[in-house]
Amino acid sequence: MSREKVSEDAEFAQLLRSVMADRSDSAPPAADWGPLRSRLHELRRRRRMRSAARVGAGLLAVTAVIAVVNIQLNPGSIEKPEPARPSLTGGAVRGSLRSDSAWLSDFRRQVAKSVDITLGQPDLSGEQWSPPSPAKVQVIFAGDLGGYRLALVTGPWEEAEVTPTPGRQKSLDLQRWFVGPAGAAADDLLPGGVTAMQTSPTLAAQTIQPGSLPNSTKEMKRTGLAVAIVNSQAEADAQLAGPAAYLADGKASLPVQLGSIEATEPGVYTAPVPDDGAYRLVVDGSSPNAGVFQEVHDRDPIDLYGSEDRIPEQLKGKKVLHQLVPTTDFSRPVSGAEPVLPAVLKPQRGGLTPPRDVLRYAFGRAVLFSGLSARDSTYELIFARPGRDTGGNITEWTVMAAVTAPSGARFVSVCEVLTGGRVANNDGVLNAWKVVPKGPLDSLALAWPVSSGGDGKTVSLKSELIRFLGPKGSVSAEFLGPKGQLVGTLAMSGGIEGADFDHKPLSTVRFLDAAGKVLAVAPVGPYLAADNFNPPVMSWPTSTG
Amino acid sequence: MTKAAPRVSGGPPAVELERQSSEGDMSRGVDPGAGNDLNADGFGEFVELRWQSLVRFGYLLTGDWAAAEDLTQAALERTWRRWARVRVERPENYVKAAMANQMRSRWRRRTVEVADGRSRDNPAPTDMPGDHALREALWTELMRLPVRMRAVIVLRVWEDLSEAETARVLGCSAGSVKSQMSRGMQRLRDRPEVLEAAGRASSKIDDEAEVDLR
Repeated sequence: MSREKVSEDAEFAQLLRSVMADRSDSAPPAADWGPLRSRLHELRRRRRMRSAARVGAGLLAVTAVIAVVNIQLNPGSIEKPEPARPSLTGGAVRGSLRSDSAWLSDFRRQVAKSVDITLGQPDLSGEQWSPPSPAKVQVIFAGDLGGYRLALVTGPWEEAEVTPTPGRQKSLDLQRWFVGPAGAAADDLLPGGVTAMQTSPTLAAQTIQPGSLPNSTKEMKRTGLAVAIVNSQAEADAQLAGPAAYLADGKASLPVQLGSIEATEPGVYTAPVPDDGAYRLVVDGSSPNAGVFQEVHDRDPIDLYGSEDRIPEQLKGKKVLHQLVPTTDFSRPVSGAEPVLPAVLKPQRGGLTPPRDVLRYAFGRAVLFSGLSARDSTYELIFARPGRDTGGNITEWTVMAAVTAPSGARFVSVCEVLTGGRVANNDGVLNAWKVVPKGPLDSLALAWPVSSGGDGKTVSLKSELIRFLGPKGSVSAEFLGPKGQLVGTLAMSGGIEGADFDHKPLSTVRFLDAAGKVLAVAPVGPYLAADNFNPPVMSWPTSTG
Repeated sequence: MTKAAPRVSGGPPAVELERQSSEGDMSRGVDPGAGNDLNADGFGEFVELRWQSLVRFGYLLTGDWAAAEDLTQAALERTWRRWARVRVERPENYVKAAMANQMRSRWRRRTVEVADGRSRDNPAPTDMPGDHALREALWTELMRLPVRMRAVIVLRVWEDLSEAETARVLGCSAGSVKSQMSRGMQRLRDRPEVLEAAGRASSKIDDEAEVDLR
């Protein structure tokens, strides 16, 4: 082999092909369809869960989440429609910047330049949405409130498909929040929460947790902001509630601590959010932004599309194509709600101790979901186990965590956490939860489906995969269908276990000891379609004191 | 299929469910996909027929068998969603396009580590040590190329696709394929490691030739 030979294209290509052949000649055996089919189902499940956790695929999910809250807070009002308020759009700009035409003009341009947002998982079909042109950006609110500069816009976001699919929606009217420090220039506001106008045409709401912006000032780190906007011709009952209170017997409430939110101008309601817990904005009995989560990828569109050739025509030529926008999730507690974990956390019911970042993620989700004050809670690890490596050194941990309220009641949850490889920030979902009265955890029994077979609002009875933890001393589990019939029986070896019933409807699991005595009966569920975050306490009657 | 099992009193009940073989997988069950549309319209047959080819392609993209399988599975899951449309076209190309593009997506960027070329334990029997070093260097440098560029090279060199076919798979212009291919090959050739290895291989050949002459 010589340099001259290497420089010749055809020969070099032949050499390269030979190298490829040599390196890949130990290809794995032919597909074993059974396990592979299981894996594809699992991938679909995970994709759906991730999608549900993002607003795009979650546009419907947001509706569902709101519906759940309405159902639970207002029993018997399942079909309760959104109050008959006039639409948010079409009116004059609200807020202290309403007359600042230069700022508003800059801001509209900035919105149009902002990098397109990804709604759901990016894939070949394309789920990227590009912003409207400045002329189509309608500013609903722009102004300074409580140390923040907020702007709310609406307009038609256009889907930028890589591979056009006939019949797909091409345009979607979105509400989008932009947030920065008070007095910020238009291009210093970061894009945040997204909601489809069709989901909530008459109300916009956003909770900004303290310190959630990368450019947070001291004041912003200390205090967040909740804001709700309705048409100035309408009224809303807006309240800030939290942190949750759990009694020793396991009953919980979400007290309204700060009373009703005062309107700063007609149709605009706002209140500071303290940093000691996961506070919730409640408007007309529901939590309008409890399920809202959005994601702005910190990458440029070239990365989205793979190469400049693939960038859709409507995006070409825009400066935005090279702009990096940091990920911003205003709703995620980042300071006061961070759990303070003990130095050593050993799993009480077996398994392994996950890496610290996995623990932080799992307990952080538990705190957020429970609505408990992070500072006032204590933390226990019940069980943890790494799943199989999903490739690229990514490991999926299953972590059962308990957050204990001052009363002794525990919020027990199960979180699946992806970690490792290039995962800069852990990703995961909270799959199941249960509030356990004060006392030992030996009798804890929990069973939950980790696949969605339901409608996202109710417990899924049809599931591909059931996971469960029985009380101490249980040696077998009986799985019962909706009519109480025995569907399957499984010997248990301890810790969290799983079973696959091929979509057979299940309703309960009975845990038995070696003598056949029933130690506990656990319903299968709930399944939570997303990790964002409709606190269970929201589903119980709230005290308004 | 899972069947109802009468409990055996006085001891662990009969287990009707089989444990999945995967290490660390907590699920147990039988035939989870039965009755699902995964089997419909020849998708399962397609996967069984093309699995090895797809995974091999994935390996050339990632340099790691586990990542290749992961990538293939993810692309197949996406293909499955669109199987009704894809099956009438060229499904293998669709899957490969999904794999190549998935490498660029955020999720895949986070979950797939592109492995650096590891030295194989044993060189190919026909390799001379100097040639082996060159091949190792080429592989390593191939894995270091940008994903898009590597995908073009793999499709052109390994899959033997034309520029136009490669462009269709990757959803870009033929001109882009041509430029990526040209730049990629040039980068491979110009890498100091490759030049150095080529030099060593050349020296080795020359040395051995001298020995032979003697």
